[in-house]
Amino acid sequence: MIELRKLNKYYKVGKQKFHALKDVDLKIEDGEMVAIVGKSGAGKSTLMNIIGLVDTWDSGEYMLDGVQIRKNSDLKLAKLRNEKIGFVLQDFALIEDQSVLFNVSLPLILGKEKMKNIKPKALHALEKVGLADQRSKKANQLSGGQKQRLAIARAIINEPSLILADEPTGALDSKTGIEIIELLAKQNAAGTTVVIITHDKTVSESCGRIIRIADGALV
Amino acid sequence: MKTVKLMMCFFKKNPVLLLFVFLELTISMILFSDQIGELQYQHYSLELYQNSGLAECDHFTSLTVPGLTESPDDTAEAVFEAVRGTDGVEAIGISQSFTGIDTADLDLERELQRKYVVSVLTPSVFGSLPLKLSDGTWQPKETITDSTVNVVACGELAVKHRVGDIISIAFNDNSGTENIMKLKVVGRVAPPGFSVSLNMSSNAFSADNLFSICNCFIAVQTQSNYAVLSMFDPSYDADRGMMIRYKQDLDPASLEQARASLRSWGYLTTPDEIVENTKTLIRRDLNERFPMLMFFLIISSFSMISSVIVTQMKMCSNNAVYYLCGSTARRCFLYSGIPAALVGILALLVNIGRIAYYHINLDFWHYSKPKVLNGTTIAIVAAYFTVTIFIAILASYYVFQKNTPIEIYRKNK
Ligand SMILES: Nc1ncnc2c1ncn2[C@@H]1O[C@H](COP(=O)(O)OP(=O)(O)OP(=O)(O)O)[C@@H](O)[C@H]1O
Ligand SMILES: [Mg+2]
Repeated sequence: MIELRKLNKYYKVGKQKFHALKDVDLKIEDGEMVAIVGKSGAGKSTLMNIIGLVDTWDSGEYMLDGVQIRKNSDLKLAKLRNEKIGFVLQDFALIEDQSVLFNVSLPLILGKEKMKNIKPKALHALEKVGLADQRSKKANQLSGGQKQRLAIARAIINEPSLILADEPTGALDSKTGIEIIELLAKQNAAGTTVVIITHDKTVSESCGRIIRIADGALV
Repeated sequence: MKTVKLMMCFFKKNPVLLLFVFLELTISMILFSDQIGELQYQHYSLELYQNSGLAECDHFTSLTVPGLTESPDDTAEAVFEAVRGTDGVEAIGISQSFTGIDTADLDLERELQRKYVVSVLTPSVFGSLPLKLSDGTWQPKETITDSTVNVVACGELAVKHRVGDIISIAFNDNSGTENIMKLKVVGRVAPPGFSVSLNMSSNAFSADNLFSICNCFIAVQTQSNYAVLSMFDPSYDADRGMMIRYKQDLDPASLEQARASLRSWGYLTTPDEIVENTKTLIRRDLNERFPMLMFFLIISSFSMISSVIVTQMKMCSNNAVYYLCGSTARRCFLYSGIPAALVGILALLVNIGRIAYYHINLDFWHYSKPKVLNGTTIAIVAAYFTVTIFIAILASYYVFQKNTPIEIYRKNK
């Protein structure tokens, strides 16, 4: 469960501060599938980065699965990212010059998994997204849709409780986009909380709840 | 194992850059160690000189030639005689050498033949050379009756030959006929293995001029050696300079007189002057080299810093992905920092190897200034390297830890 209380975020712009998130109160229950929508520059990615523990905030509280998140414990945050959160980004965030197998294995390589378990688990994750036959290709040899499926495989390999997707269909044609959303929905059906940032109405409407954000505040 | 996998990513991504970092570090360390080695050599030669019997001898080179004769050999002999005849002089130490060709190579082309220089030093003056032997002895107990000369190998030859080796060489004697002589290695001079040279003539003679040859066989003039050498009578090249020992009981006035008479026709350097000249040289060289050494340090630090920064920039998309997948910013940095340091360590190993094998003619600049490369050099170079890497890592760490890998990636996209 994700719980934000009176959360504020400022960006430094030169000597000035830019108030990017304003007193955000937000609760997302386990197993929800939520869309975050809003204009460009509204603060969607900022919010998601904070939820995903890759960025910090300035005031307010953040509880993840009932645990209060402290901003300054790098090691703990990294461990949480590794075990509890999977990311799917618009630009895929893959290591392009490495193999599909390597890319999907990364969370296991960076985590505590034993070497001998990595390959079977990786293949299993690739099968789930239908990429098992592409495993020895380099990531940069895949199509856009395949890349995003690879990113999903990587996001789910550690069986996280939360998947964060920042415009996952943004770089894809609509048919491929639908496939990606279906994959995420399937994951959600299996119990994973899914948060999707999107500009696409059909995508947001397929989610259980829509959170709207404008100028850094929820509306 | 998993860490290795991630580090391989780094190598794969930056092969050319890393090659250049490797070359840059290797070369700057080579140049650095050579500078250090030359300074070490000057200290080494001064110490050697001060610990030898030579510390009581003057050095002399003639300018004018008494009894000018046609043949240069006779001239040298005449000069030596004239010095020996000077009042107050007890003995002179000269260095004579002859060159022979390995008989196994006689059929080869000239450039391919192995040539050996046998250096014969006056025993009364050079008998107390404090050159350490790594094994063997200066004068073996058993006398060899056949035509074998006992020699001590120095410099590179000490690396190539073992005690007990017998080398037969062909050389010309005074009448021009070719003879064959056997050299038996009875000892090896410990590194750095420089031997006496009196070839240098200078009005500022210093200790490093005195010990400046390596790669020769020293034939100590034992009785058996003397017998063999005079049997063959090889045609010697005598070095122009000489070391002069005065009579023990000479009063200061007569000593001054003897010196004055020698000074009138040549360069005379007293022990005090030799020490002073050497120290001046060391000071001057240090002053000249110190900025150079600092320059190397700064240049290589800067280029290390920039290489680390460039590699980290190239790695920033990788780092962002590692970060997302559960690595801390510090770990991301190390996944490329450690392999970069490994490249540096490889360069250090190459340098240690070069220093260790220095005597086996691996040096490109073999005929440049003599230098001493040893454990101390390795320690200094290793310290230099550590400082360089440390500065580079620290500086780039400072640059990269201000932001998370994600932000760095976003900013550099
Ligand atoms: N690192 C930063 N420094 C300063 N300002 C920033 C930074 N990142 C974001 N901003 C600002 O914060 C606001 C919110 O940015 P954010 O990326 O969250 O928007 P977004 O809703 O994701 O937009 P988009 O739909 O275009 O991705 C924007 O006005 C942006 O200019
Ligand atoms: Mg965004």
